[in-house]
Amino acid sequence: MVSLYVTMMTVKVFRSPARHGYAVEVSPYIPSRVACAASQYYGIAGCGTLLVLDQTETGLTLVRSWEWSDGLFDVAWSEANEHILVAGGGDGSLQLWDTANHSAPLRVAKEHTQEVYTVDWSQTRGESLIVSGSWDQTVKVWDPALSPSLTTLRGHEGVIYSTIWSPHIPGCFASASGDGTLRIWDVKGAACRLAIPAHKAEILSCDWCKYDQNVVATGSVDCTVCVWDLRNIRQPVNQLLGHTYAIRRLKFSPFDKTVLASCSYDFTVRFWDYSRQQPLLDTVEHHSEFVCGLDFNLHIPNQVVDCSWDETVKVYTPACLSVGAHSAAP
Amino acid sequence: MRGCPVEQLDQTASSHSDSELTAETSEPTETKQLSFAEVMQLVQEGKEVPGVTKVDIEPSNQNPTPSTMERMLKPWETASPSPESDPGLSAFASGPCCSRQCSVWGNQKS
Repeated sequence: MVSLYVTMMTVKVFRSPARHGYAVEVSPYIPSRVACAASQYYGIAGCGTLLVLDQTETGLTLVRSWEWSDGLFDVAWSEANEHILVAGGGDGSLQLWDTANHSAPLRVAKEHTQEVYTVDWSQTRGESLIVSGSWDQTVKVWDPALSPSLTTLRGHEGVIYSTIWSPHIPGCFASASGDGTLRIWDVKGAACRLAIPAHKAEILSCDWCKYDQNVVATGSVDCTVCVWDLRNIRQPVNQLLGHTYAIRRLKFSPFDKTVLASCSYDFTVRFWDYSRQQPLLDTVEHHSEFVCGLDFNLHIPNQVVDCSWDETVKVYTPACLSVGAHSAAP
Repeated sequence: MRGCPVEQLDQTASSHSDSELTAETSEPTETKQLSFAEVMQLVQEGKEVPGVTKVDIEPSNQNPTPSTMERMLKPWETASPSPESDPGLSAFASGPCCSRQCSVWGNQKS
């Protein structure tokens, strides 16, 4: 599909030599601040580095970085304290970090028996919970003290790649797994409420629609994004085609109900409006390796951050997301 | 050794075996930059990967720096007020997992 938008946008770039980016997240408190979880040697050997970056007019500067003894695969900012982050590591640990504390993590929790590939901090007002998903096929829920975990949830029959809290329903999160299912969980009942065989291949990512509490999207090794309405799981609401390799991460827009972004092993980031006949809005091709991390800025409309195994973190505002550049299909 | 799920590796683009480090980086790297395929091979053969950084970090167990900032509303929270109770969960899932066996439950704390 020919891109209808001139992609002459300012891109702010941070280079982290010998560190391959796995995840990025914009601070919910400081809109110019971004955290990046990165690993030496593509995450298969060596150490990890957690980076905190601030945006300037033209670039990204390093605020703080910490080393960890194993690769780091995901990072989540606290929703209750602007200084605090949690990261998940290849050694099965969760670590709690404080941007005002230079030397070491505040806490380390070593319960998972394999890599922690995903961590998320609940956004729903009134609760402060962390969820982690691991290659040991379990999900754990924690409070910010981090030890011990509050609950361990079993049910997935494959590695867990993504665990994401619902932005609307307290105590509810979605998980995506190598077993091809999307599961919806209820922490209070310690139960899996729905298990959807969403793809015939591994599902590497999921995210909730920010404006419809029943809508979840999945991104898979089968190169497709599926959008699901949880009230009718027999077939997806839409299937988004375009990526040519596995989808590594996807995120729903914080500003537009039907807009989402996905990043892939095909080195691209794509933007979609799933309410349209032709959902693909644009393809951004500014990486030379797997793109693993992706986030929308919660407070700077249409700003996107991504990170890649090409050792860069990039911040940009794709033209296809500008106000008025798209509208819902009639 | 850490394994990557095999399906993902099958889909790696062929540029991995001939990727080069660009000249743009300003800091010297610790060692010759190996490709993904080269690192995987070393690891699978049980060989040491050169330049692997070994660090041993202990937690400080200090208290978090106190927060001084107010939580900001998310864009969707200002759009319309959403109920804090959970009618949403019962709209799409009324009971324990229905379409798949969920085998073992574990609770460390009630």
